[in-house]
Amino acid sequence: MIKLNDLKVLYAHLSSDKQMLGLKKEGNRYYYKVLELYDEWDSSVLLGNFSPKDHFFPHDETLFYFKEQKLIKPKEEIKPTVLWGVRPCDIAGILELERMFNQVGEEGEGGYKDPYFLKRFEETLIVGMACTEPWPGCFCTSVGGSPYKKDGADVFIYPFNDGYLVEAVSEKGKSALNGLAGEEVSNTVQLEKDREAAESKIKSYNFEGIADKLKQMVDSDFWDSVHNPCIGCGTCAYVCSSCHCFDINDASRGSRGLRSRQWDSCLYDVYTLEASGHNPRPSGAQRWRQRLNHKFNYFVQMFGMYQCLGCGRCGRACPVNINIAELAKKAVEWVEPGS
Amino acid sequence: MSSMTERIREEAKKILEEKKVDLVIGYGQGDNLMRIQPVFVDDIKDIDKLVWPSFGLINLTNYLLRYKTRNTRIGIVAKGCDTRSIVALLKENQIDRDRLFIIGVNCPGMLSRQVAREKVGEIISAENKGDGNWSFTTVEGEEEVSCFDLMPSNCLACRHHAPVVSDVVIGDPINEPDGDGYDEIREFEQKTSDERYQHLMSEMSACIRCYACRQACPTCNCDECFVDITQPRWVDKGLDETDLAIWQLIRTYHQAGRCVDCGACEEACPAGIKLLWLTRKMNLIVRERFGFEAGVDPEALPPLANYKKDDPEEFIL
Repeated sequence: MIKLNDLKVLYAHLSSDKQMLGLKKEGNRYYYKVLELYDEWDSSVLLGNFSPKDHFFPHDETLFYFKEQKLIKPKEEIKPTVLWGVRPCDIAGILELERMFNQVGEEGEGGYKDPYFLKRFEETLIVGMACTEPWPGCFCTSVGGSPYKKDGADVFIYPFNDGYLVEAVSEKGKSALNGLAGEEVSNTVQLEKDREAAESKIKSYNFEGIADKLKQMVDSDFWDSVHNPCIGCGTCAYVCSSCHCFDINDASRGSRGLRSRQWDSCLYDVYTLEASGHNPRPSGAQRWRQRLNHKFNYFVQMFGMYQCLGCGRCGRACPVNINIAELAKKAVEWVEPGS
Repeated sequence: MSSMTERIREEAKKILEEKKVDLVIGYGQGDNLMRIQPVFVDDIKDIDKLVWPSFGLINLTNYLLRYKTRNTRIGIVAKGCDTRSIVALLKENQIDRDRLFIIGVNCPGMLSRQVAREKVGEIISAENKGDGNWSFTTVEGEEEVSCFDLMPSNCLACRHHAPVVSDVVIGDPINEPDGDGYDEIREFEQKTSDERYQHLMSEMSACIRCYACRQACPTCNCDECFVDITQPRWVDKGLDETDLAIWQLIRTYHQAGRCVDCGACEEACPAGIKLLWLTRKMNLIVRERFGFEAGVDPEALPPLANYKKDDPEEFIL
């Protein structure tokens, strides 16, 4: 690991041939946006209001244009990008998207490779950063994460004493750090202590056995009791770093137009509305059953990991403060009336 | 615990015990003092879940629409503006007064998370100092702010603090301020059309089309919203800035003579867009041309449901 007193050195090293994407304030919200200068970066908010998902899987993406019978590919240049100062839970969110959009196997037999996601993913260098001061509402340690987890990052930054330690995690990270000058540090005992201190500040939940529990709760009264406050907007899904549902739409004027895809949310009533007018999930109870199951059951069955990474953004952004960790906890503790 | 909270619990307990209602919808405590989560109390043992909030810019009337086709008798905690929503919904035959018990509250005005965020930045935790001030821990440090500086524009402009309809009223009456509360909008009207256009576009460019504004609003209660209709497609689905502006402009038009200025839409917006200047401008037009305010007079017909020979016709209405 290399010790740096100022992150500007690393920023300058990486930004020489890549565009930098980091947390930036626009209006009164924090987004992952292109940074023109190091000073535009604002790390004080830890996570920002919106996740970096938009960079890999844009909210609104044109797949192609059409004119009569002709298809035209969008002229978009994917620039080599550094995702700068992203936190471990968001990196886990990106890895989750990668699981979804880059599935091993032949097409038609469970395999699927999403070219739109992959071209951006391949051109991105992920520079992660440990959280020394987690926020209220963080619960990453309960879903397999840690404020010091470097998995998935190419380069990882640890705040260390008065400066920073920089570690090349992947091969891609190693070559990106090539030529970076700084003092080599091998004694990292302090980091373990820092990790423990940071983890101890995070609220802990016990979700053990939740996937099996949810499997048995298909017809449970639980869903009727928990969905009530939800107003059915898409805020939670849109700020989530791992929600990946999308809708495909055509926009046309006469014989020309475009096909695009947009984020979608399982909490919308029109999400499952069929052309016949039938809606298999007509109420918030069924929609919340889907949401919690997708995060804590289906994804566990398919990929052996939760689809919730414990950032707590959804609960903070939710107009009625629905906290998914509290909801999952309630599901674990739920006893069916009369059983 | 505030005496308002106590009074709300008392009344809720009473109507549940007397079996006047099956369910009481009220405000409940969320993750912290700035967060509110509506609660649905059907059992007296849960009565302590009810609170009177400081940051209560949620219009609970919204939830009544879910019981449209059911026979549930509902008790609801309602601020002045919420009772205006009740009147407006009654006029549109969306709810049934006989199945409703209104615990009206003389509301002193609510505080806004959006305004707080604008004033002090991203907030990590908040504390009520009890002397009318709030203390916030933000990413930049500690800051103390007077509650009067945390009120949203609709509460500052409110002239209907007292419930319009109710079965019981809680809290001391509040003196209504002078004026009509629209000075801010009149000031905005003085800007050039270019400036107004720029303002609209810059606000709307942050929209993520989550529809939290629509979902938080009791008046946005169409069975099928025009943005969700695919045939014909009125507005495209993406984030094109014209579509974003059209979405909010049409939403505002659909509120003509119906918006009660509760501020729930603006408070719900995860992108922090100021939506009230649009709806309040619409409210001012309706007020000036038709002498009408939504939900204030239970007897008056809304302008869009009423035709008079002398209706002003200088614009498209």
